[in-house]
Amino acid sequence: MIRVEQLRKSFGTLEVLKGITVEIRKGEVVSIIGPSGCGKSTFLRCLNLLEQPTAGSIHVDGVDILDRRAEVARLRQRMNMVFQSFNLFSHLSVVANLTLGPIRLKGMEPKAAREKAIELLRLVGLAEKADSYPDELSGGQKQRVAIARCLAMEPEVILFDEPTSALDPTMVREVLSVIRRLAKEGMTMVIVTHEMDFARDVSSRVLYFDQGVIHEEGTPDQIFDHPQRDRTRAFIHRIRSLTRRFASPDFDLYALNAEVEAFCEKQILSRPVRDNLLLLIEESLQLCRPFLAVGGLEMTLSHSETTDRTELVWTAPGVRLNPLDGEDLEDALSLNLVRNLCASADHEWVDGVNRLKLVLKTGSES
Amino acid sequence: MRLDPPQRFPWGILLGLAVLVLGAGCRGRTKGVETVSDAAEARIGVMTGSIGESIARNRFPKAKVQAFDDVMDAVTAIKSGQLEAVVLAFPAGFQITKRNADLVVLGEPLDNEETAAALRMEDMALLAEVNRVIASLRKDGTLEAMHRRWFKSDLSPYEVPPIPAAANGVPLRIGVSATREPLTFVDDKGEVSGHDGELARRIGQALGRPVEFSNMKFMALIPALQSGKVDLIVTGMNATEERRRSVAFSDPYFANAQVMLVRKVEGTRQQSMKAFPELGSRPNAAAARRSSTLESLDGKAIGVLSGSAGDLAARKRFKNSRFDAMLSAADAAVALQSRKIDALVYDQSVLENLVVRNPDLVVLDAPVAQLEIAGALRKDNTALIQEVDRVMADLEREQVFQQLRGTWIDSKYTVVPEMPPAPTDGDQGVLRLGTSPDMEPYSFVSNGKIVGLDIELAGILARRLHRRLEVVAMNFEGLIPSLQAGKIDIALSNFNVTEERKKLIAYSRPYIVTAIRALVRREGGASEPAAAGGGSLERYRRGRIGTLLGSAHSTWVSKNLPEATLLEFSSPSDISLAVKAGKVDVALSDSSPLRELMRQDPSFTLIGDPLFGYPVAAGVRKDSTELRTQFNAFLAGLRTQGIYDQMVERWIRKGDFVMPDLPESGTNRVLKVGMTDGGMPFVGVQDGKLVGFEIELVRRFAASVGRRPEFSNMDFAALIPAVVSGKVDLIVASIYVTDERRKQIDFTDPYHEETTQAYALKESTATGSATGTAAARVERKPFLERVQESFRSNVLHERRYLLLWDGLKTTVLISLGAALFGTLLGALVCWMRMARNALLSGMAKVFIALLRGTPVLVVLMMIFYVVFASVDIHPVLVAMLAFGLNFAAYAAEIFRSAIEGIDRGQSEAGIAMGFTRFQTFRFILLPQTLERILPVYKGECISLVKMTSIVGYIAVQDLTKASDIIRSRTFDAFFPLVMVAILYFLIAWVLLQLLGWIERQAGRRRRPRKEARA
Repeated sequence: MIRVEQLRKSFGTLEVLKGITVEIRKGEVVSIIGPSGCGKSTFLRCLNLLEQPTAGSIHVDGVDILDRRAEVARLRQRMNMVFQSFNLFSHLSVVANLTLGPIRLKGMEPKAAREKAIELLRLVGLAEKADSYPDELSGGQKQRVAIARCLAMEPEVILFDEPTSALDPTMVREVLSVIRRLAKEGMTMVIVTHEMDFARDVSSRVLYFDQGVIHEEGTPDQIFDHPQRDRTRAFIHRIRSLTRRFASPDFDLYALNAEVEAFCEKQILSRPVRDNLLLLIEESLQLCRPFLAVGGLEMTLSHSETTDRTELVWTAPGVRLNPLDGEDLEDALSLNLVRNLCASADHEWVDGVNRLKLVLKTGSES
Repeated sequence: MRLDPPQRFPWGILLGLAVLVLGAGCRGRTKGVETVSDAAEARIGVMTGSIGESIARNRFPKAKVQAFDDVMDAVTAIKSGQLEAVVLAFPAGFQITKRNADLVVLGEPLDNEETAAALRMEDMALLAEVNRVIASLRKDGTLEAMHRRWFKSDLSPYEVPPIPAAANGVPLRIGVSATREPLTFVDDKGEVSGHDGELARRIGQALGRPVEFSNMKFMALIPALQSGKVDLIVTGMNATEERRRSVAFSDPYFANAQVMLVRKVEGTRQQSMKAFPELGSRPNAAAARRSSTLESLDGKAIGVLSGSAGDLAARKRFKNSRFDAMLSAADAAVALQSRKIDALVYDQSVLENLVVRNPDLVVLDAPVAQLEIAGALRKDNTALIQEVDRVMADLEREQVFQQLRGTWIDSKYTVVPEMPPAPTDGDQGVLRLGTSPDMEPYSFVSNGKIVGLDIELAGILARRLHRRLEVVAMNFEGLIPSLQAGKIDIALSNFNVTEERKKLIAYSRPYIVTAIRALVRREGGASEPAAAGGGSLERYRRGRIGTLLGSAHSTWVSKNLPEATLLEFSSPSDISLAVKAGKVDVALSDSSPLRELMRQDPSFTLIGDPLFGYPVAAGVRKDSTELRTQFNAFLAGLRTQGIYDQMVERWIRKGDFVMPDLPESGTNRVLKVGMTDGGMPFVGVQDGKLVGFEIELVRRFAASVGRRPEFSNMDFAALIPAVVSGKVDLIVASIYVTDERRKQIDFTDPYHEETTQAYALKESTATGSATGTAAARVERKPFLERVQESFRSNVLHERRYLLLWDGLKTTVLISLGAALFGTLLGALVCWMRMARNALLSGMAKVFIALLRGTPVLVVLMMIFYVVFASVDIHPVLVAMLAFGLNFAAYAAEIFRSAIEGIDRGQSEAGIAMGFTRFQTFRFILLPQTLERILPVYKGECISLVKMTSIVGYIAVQDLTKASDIIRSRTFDAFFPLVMVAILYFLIAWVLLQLLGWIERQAGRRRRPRKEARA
């Protein structure tokens, strides 16, 4: 349905897209993942010509849309877009946001348009907000209205540009579930997202963008569980873990806590789990004090959604020293707490590096 | 970042302002120079190599003398506070003070230099001829007349008499440095003019040779003369000893004083030199001519000093008068001021001294008699008579008399001149001088000493006679008896030579030839004094005087009552209102409308007699010769047919303001006439129509030349610009034909003579006028009744509501037109401003900066008088254009900020949905923009409506102008102004409602505005 060949886009001297070739077929759900600044959004905006590509070609149903004669506005009606910042028309009520396009562009009767709009709002669960105004809605509601507004134009493809990035974690799910539903109904979609699990669930195909090109593409399983290329692998790992290095005993505990909390939110960990994790980190840091004095302590925190396993690993180079063995009075409390919080706690010394691996207890186990 | 010139520009101005402010601050710190001695340690500017430089260096050794190459540089320096004084020649200094009111020439000259023509040493034949010419010019009074014409204290144009040049003959090559107004300068025709320019021409004429001027730098003149490039230098060159070594000088043609130019210091003993030393001293001559004539004095009370020549001359001349013998001239002046007498007949020089001390007095131009002043001696004292005559003859030859006259009479000194000490011993005994020391400047007491011209002369006489001088003071009447009794040897006491006295005493040679003249009060003189009730305008010398902006009245006041505060108004009605409200003390007006004003409102009263008069004529553009000729022919015809007399009778004499039915010309050729509704009988408004003498005149004229008159009612000050720029063909507004105006426009033949009179509020004039206040108390009526009456006279009477209605329509029309045009243009400018194209956005930026930074009044006038000067465009359109332009600049910025306030995402969403750019703007941006701009836009619209009240400047009759017209008829300030204020408020209110409705429509579906805060 959409065939993109050697698409390039530069902003001034900065080349953002360096030759993208991809085909999107009808009924496919394509997720685009990758580090920020790799051109994911730009690629999406090129597809409906919000950005004019510098070179390459885009064919939609065999029509070259970069041709001067192409009716871009008409083309866009078939390929609507959902934005990160919702972009609802703030002067119009929710229902009017939905009916503006159909009435003005498709010549629909206002009454029919309104009926259809209400139907779509019901679909996204917001029928009762029909006569509200955008600034009376929460972020998740706004984005659902935006999706409904997209659907009102009956597009063949919907482009999602990071639809949940501007949302509070609690609102992410309501938006994602609407998109999941659309996917089930067979809507063709291109989704730029940072929600990896969502991408894995919903996509028929995943494109990993890096450095302005499609670095790797494949089924979700291929990309997430068996990435073939190093950069892909590193990326997948990085988004699932939090790594931090401590150079001296005078580190910023609050900044660390904030980062851990952000990680938890991203991984959608429950509040008790998060609190336990924070406690575990603080207490195990006590145990690792000797390493801190020497310097070069590193913390890696990772979580797997599939196994629901949260792992905390401390590594420090130096002589063999097992903090779990420390039976002196001062750390006894910390040690007990750590042992209580962990499902398992292991220490190993490999190649002159101490490695302390702690696995957090989950709610079911306690 | 790119800086656009228009953005940078205001910083330059700001910087300039800052410098000015700093400069002003510095200026404030320097101390002013009040007398010449104050300059001892001052910073003094001089011209490099000038006499002034050597004077300054010698006389003020402690001063910091700075030499400048150009006078103007020195003037700039003194004005900016870098100098305290500048020493320069009087004519230059005088000229500078004319144009710089903050500078003044100190009254005490530093030195007197003789100015003469320079010739080559060997050119003895020419020297003799030039001397002969100068002598004859001096003798026939031409030189004096020239002084008077060229060295005058105001900026009015010079009178230049035609001097026919000899057609053939060897050209007389004159070297000049023509940057020395008023001596030599290049006039507007590009010819060398000025006092010396004229003198050169006169010399050429007398010698029968054409004159050829070579204009060069002053320093180059003498080399040019020596090398034979020029024959003669006539350019105010001082005959210094130094120069005499290289060139020959003719006899001097005037004494050129070196003077000190300083900054004016208010309220100090600073004395200024206002007139050229040799100017003669008749600054008030012009006023005197109008005050009264000599003939009218016959039958009045005339003061004389009994036994003086003036006494005799007056008795001879005014047979029907009553004569009051005064003891001294000063007494007579007091008597004159207190109206005990109407004139004082006495020696001109004494009278002129009195005038200096009493500016409300004036010397009549025509002399009562000529007389000579001589010393009186005892008849039988032949030896002394002969001796005195011999010395007198010597003195005359040595020009001592002339010097004395210069020192005591012509200089109009402010500090009594120093006198050389009289000889206190002598081998020939004593010379007893009898004098009556009450006649300044001849003989008077200053600092306890008897001084004066007579006394100084007596000292000189005594020295030459080798005698000791003994001064005996006595009454004038006692002098002759004392002489006869041998108590005194000689009487020098301003003794006029009369036949009667010759019988009693012997006279020496006359030492002063002078005139007997009459001194009168400045106006009033012989005619109707206090009867008018108001007294004299002199009372308001320091008061607030109201005049019409741009009128001859303003000029007159600034010239004749320099101490008064001049308040200029743009319409006569404003003036009378100001008088009534006590904003001004007295006002000047044309006499005819004034009569009408006083008929309408008895609370006014005339002050004094008519001040001056001028012929009144219509003005046309300089190149409209045809129109002028037509008008003159028409006027002549009107006079011969007697219609003119009828018109004068109807409008001016009887004042029954009825417009006759006049034939209308059927053609469409329009005669555009500019006028001011100065009030009846010339121009007024009745039943919404223009009427009046001038209107009838113009209508008749237009009909006679087959044109349809179209009147534009404008401010008086705008009339001349309008006719010059071709906006109108003809202007009539009781315009005085003055020389100044003649420079800009041509006048038709005059159709009227109008005089100017002062008037004031009755209560404020006479002292203790109980009747005035009583009348005022009687006038108080209940408020409602007064409002009713006002409503009747201001609205109903003469159907004045028509005027208001028309004005209202015009105001609304202009406001709507300007708002519409401005909004559309503003949208365009906003689009340009936001365009990605640098040229478009740059142009828009410049447009916005210019229009927002210029007063709309200036824009309005520029568009009317400059841009569309030669285009026939309706002023209402011009107003719409001007206000629209201004509005657009503001609207563009309002729009831009509103559009930029909407986040880009919405328009992207629209575009992504499939809307075109325009549709996105139309359906998504525009509705939100409207919502955002309306609150600000409403305010802008209302200020636009109020702003339009200035369109009167370009002859549009809007609401404000309508109220002006009504006020000009009813002389009621309160009601028309309040009414117009209410009408403006109503327009604004309706507009607010309308825009409010639009606002509600735009946000119709909104809940109460919560979003506005977001």
